[in-house]
Amino acid sequence: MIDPQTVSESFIKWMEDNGYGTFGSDIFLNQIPDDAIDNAYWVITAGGDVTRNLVTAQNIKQYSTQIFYRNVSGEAVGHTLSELEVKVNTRGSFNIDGFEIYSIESTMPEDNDKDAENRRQASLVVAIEIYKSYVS
Amino acid sequence: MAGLVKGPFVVKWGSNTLEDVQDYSFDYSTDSNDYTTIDGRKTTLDGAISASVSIQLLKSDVDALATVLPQYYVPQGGTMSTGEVVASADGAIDVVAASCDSVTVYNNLDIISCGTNSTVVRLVNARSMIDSVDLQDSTVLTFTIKFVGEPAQGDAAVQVFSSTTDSIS
Repeated sequence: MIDPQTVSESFIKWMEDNGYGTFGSDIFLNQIPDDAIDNAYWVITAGGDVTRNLVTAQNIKQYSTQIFYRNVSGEAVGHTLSELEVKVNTRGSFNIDGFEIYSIESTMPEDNDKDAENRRQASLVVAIEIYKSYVS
Repeated sequence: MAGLVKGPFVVKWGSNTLEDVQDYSFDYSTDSNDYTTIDGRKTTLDGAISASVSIQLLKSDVDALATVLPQYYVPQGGTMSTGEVVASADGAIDVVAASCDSVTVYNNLDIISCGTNSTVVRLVNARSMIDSVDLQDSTVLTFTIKFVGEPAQGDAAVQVFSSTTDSIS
């Protein structure tokens, strides 16, 4: 992921930097192609909200990012997303390019059953609060 | 014509603009004494005014605190009260109890509403002090700075005026 502009893109950049895969090969944004390989992630931008407005124009916005992972091995799905959840919830060490994180929290992985091609699929939701200063 | 005084607000202490202000509270009180006449009437006479503003800074690193607590700021190369030399280019904050040689910094604290014809609420001749230090959401450490108005004799404690320059002279 070159020059990430959004929180989802920056999260993908973090995944690349931490060895989860490569954007366009086995990590995708919002839509996984029909011909994508079996073992792949796709990151979906899932809305958010302004959680706090400061007196002096800055604010804190919460972005929700849903991470899906599928693999022919159900065990690999569980282990991979569990490891990702632990990394995300180790809050102090988590940074993404271009954004100042106020807080970050992941849900536990949720199994989404097998897909039509017998690949196990699961997901988790990462809520990222970003501090945004509009004062230059 | 009356109108809403709306934010976001610019907060200035002297010439320094304070950014990342998460919370703001204004405390005001007037000394008063009640007098009761022998025919049963009660009169309240107002006296001295005290006013202060507490501001919670979301960004409370040394750089931010140096602006609001100049009396405690030690620049790079300076020596802290405990003997350490400050190596960081940001300097350090060394909160030492006031002594005979302490210099108190006074500035007007202005709360300025948004818009071209904004309204200014001024706390006159205010000094700063630490009010509290909090761990917000177990995530972020914040400082709340209290600005205490100490106007000169005969001066107002609080003023409200339009920011257009001809409204005050």
